Amino acid sequence: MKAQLIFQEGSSNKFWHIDVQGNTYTVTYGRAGTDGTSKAKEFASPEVALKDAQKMIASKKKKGYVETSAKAVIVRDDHNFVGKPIRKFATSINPSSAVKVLSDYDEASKVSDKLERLAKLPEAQEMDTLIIGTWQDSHDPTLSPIIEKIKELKGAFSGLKHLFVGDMDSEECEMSWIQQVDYSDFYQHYPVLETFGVRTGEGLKLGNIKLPHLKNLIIETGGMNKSILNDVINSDLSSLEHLELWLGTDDYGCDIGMDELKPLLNKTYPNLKYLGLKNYHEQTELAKHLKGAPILNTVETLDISMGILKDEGAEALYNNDDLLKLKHINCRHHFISAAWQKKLKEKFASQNINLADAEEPYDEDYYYVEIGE
Amino acid sequence: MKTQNAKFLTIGNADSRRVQFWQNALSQENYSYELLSYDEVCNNVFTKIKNPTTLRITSTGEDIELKKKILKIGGCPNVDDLLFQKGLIYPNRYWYRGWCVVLEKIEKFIQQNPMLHVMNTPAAIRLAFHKLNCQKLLQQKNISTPEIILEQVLDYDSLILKLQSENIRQVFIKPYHGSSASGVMAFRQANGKQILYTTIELKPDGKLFNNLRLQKYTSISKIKTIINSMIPSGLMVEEWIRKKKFRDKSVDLRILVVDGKASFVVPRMSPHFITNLHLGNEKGKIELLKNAWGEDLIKNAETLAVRAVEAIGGLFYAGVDVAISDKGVSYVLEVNAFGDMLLGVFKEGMNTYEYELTRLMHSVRSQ
Repeated sequence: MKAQLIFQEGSSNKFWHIDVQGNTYTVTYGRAGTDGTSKAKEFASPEVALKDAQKMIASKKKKGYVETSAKAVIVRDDHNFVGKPIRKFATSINPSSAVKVLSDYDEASKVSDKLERLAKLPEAQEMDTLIIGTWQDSHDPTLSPIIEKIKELKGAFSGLKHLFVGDMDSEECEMSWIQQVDYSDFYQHYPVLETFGVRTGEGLKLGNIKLPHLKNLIIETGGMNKSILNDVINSDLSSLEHLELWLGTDDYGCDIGMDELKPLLNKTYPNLKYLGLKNYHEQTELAKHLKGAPILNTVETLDISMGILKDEGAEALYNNDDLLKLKHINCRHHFISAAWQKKLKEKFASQNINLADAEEPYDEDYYYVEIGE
Repeated sequence: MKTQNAKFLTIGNADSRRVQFWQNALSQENYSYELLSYDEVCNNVFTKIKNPTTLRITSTGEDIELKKKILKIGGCPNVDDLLFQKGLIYPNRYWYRGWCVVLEKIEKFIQQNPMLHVMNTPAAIRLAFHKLNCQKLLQQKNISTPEIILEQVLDYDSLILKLQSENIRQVFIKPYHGSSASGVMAFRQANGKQILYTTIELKPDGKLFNNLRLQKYTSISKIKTIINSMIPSGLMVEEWIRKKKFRDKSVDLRILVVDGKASFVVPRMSPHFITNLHLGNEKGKIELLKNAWGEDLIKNAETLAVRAVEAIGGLFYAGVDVAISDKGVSYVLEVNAFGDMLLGVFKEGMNTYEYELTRLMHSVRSQ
């Protein structure tokens, strides 16, 4: 028997694995992104070993650990990116962390200057994860010189595999004010990227995403333009495992309806495990169109959180038996009635369906996505 | 039942919840108490206090007639013609002037009755009700507060000019007076675009109302109208403190300081920047925050709250709103002289009022 548990809370991100073999078990634990420490323990019989392992698992769960399969695999949150803790770059870096470079409002140096300093460190070669944080309040008036700098430093950053541009929250900048750039000719400089993510308001152009090794693609918006979706659909992304698109609302430029989404739902990606179509004002309609969608063939986690998902959508999910083969369904932040929540919970118990954050419409008929900005 | 001999006097209205909570705490301990209404205070109806008595001054509450009376005392013209629709934002400067007059009457009453032991003094209450003066005093005493960018907004255009010339992209604009989040504005400007988040709702007829839901304005003409309409009652501009987040929500702490100690801490969480509880935001559990952020951050915030109350002086209890920035620095956002009505939180099995009473009797005894 094996179990893999994780603990993610605040800045702490730990794992705890147990592997029972006969009358011994091995526990491996540590911070995410590290190999951790292993300890073996021997028992009088396999039964006793198993019983003790189960006791250990229960006690871990009591402390807030969850099984990895029971939780959406998170590529990115406030503290971690691709399983590594995020650390702001000041003067040195730890290559096993996700290195975040930003220029805060009270800082004198630009992001591009900091990148140059970073590139001079001997450890820069080993750095495989880079995050660009806020430049909005800084002396870099736009993102273009920063992206140009990253291209220029490709020699120094030759180990780079995971990149996110625009990691800033609502306290730092309105999402809709984040000015992105055209990445069409960026990919050729980093053809080995496995993760590419952006947060954007305006100005994003993806073009043909020529990244043959790309596993994780994340695009966060308050309103996605269909040209962005089409570029995703038309790019050859056969290595993709995690596809996360925040579609947003028409207030912030989302012009994507079912006609635009169908070509995506009809695609298949041989390795796709996670599909996130999030923060979407048409979540109810989308739920109806998931039935028989080829894209779900390989998917383990379906994430339709943060959006406007109402009872009609819940009903469509309920009547879609294909979803029973999923490992996890995330509907957090929704407008589903208590009655339908109960039905969904019963039907998708094995999927550990997440129905947290049940919202109420304002003024009885105003529905909203989680990040409408 | 034997009535204990300590005596209590409350200034407030009988139907106010704050008064009732306090009277409940007193009757549980069999203390005798009296109530002096604001009507009586306004009409200078005071009695001579012959025995040692503890005086508690409570909030004037939501009573419309009392509100009108205080506005009138403050010199507000045409009070009787003012329509007191629910949530309408009324001219706070007149209310504050009237409130100061009422506090002066109470002050005189206290001076004439040396047997009175005052929990929160009128002088301290007066200061706490003037956010600019209060924040300035705290800054003079080296208490960490958000930097004051402008003490007074003269008009919208000069505000914009100031922010543009100093390249300040985001600020909080706060009315000098006003309870909780009422009238607070989170304002952003960059590249000719502007966004204003506030609970103020601008109706088509130009009237301003408090709305429970956070409003968002992107129309420059509307933003200008709102700011200019709020100016006569006094607006200050503060640095925007980026609040530390917990589970994707912005957090600040309401810390109730009683008798010089941080006694209750309630985290307030919101998906937005304005974290006031009255906006229907969540009450958090302090233990979860301590686990995630470490005890030290919370302890620093508590120490800061205690120092702020000490700096003002004359406050046996006060609710201090403290923000912890994303860099882990604590800032006093405001001090509420009536900030002890925290529902559903207990210390040693006591609610805030019961706890205050226990501390009060303890400090009286040790004097």
